[in-house]
Amino acid sequence: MTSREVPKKVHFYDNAENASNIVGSAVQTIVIPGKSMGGPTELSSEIVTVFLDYEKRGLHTVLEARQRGDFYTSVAKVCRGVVVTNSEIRQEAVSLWGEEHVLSAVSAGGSDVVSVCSSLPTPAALTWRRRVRNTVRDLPGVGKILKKIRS
Amino acid sequence: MNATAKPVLFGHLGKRSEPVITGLEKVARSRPGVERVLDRVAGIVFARGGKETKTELPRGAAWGWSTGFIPNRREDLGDFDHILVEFGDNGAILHGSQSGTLPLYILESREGVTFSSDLDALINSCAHNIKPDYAGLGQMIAASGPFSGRTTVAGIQRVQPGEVLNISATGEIEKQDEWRWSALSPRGSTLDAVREALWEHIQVVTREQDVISMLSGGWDSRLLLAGAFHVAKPARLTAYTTSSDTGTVMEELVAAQVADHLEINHHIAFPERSLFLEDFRTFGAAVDYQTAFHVWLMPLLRAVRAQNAHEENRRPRPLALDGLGGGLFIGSSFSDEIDGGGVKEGRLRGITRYLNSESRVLRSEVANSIREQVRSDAVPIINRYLNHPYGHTLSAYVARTLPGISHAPHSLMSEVADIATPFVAPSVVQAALEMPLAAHKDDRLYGELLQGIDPVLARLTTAQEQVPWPRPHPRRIASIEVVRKLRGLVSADPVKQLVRPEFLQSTDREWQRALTTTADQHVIRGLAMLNLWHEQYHHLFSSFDLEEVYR
Repeated sequence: MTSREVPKKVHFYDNAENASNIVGSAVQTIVIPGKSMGGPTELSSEIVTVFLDYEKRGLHTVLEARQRGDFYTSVAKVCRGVVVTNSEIRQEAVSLWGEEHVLSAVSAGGSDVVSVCSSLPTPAALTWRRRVRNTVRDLPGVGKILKKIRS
Repeated sequence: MNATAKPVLFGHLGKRSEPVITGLEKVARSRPGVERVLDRVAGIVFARGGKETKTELPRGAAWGWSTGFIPNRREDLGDFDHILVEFGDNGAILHGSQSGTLPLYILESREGVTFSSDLDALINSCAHNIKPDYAGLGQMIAASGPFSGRTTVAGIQRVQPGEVLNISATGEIEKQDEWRWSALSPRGSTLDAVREALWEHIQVVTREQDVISMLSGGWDSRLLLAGAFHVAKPARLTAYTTSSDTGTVMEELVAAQVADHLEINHHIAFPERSLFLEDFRTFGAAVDYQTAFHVWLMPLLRAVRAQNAHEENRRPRPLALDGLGGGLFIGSSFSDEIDGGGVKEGRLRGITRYLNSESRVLRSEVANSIREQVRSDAVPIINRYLNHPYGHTLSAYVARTLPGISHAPHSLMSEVADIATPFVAPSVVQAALEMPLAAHKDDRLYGELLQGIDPVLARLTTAQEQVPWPRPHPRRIASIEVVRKLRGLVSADPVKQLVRPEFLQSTDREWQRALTTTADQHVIRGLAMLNLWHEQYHHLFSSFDLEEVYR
């Protein structure tokens, strides 16, 4: 496999093309551009549909914020963390999301954001341990046995 | 002293005692807006806010008060929760609300009954010789809140549903139980009867009101909102959602689907990490430190308060529809699951649910002692309803909903809105409990009630049905900023003596792990609330020894 074919772990939410936001199984992190970058602001039914999918799969949803106003949209309020590309707004982001869920990038929209978001740990739902456990659990009859053991 | 501006009612009935009246007047002066609303031979009543109705009787007067809608005519009061004071020739009568959800506290003495909707007012009116109720404290920490009439203060009781006190002019007290719900049982009621009662109630309480929906991703708030939208059609309807802090944003997403479908304004209140301690303190004061259940609701309260301020008094105070009791009376939240221990044991385990496995947080002798105390108060309640077809519902209502959950609307949200809780309206409860038990199975009534007015909402999957595992979203309460604050509260004297030393010394990471489990998080919140309660009232105690919790 060449480097160009490595499945990407980070997907930039495409405001114009909702269908492209249904992402493959390799993706672990969705970056949602803030309002100042033309990103989505309202939780319309189309956006909710893809966000429900992200949430069920346990993906990281990271707001990309350049200005304070980016923090206060409906879409921002359902993001799991934030990457700030302007150090002046970092403190406000920490106040909102908590220091463990605020990332910093030097420049907006590009490789620096990808690099920072790639450093996030694998979402708990996507670890190998969890995948193996889920596969075993879904084998015929195993669910019943596990339930019996637990009770 | 309690700083929130929620509606409040307090007074004294019986023998006119100068020290008692002086104490009440002192409290009245300390709270802006409180007025003396009744002053008779047999008693005195002060109030601020809320709704009231006054009826002159041939030989006395009746005065009703509520945090929400109250009809003008006394004969119409029945379906709308209220506290009623009646004055007659020979004394007074104090009626608690039929649902019991409107908090009402009493202190009995030789002079009669001093009462208040707000425990803090009662404590401060007689600010001497206060003793903790250690069983009540244990129940606050590790159950829903003090129940069975207890509070965290010895001698101060919470009035139970339908409880009525007759107080003579010389101060003698006689209590009566007029709770009608325990006598209800299946007798062929239909879906139509529930629908009719619910829509009628919603129509009456929302008439000429701006309405706010506290919209979650579940059935209760959706049904109330749909009823208001399609049946009552208020001029202005706004939905608010906040995170219930259970590690998922599914609630916000499903709520957004509902609001989008109805095309109504929807505000999502974000749980700001840096405001946790302020939220915790405000919540504690509002609920008189009787529970630590619904701290997560605070961002929503702040959002409604900000919106009200933005309106600059151009709009009347809104009415909040609250889903209190829906899971019990419409849904099937408290159906019996027989898992080997029998019905009685199953119901008991529900009430002691935060202590059913070994606590990582509490010292074992503390956990054992609290568990036994909770059981000893819960057993008489469970026995009372053991053979009732809705016995689990009734015992869970008395031991869990009333002490823990009823505060969210009446003690907290009442600061910013009038309160309506249609699922505990007597007409709705009667229609629902007179249906066969099987009619409620698997929450089916919600879909059936919605089908007639909004088939889309009847079919829309709830958040609960889609909750992912592992929970993917960071909980506010488990954030490092909050851990530092909670550690400070739980590790301080005198609370720390209840906690395992190894837990006190464990790492922040281990605290974060504990805060992502239901039972440990509940106990940690309870312990932190105990700290705030002690900080607020320790100077009034005539004695205090926390060892009494586990001696």
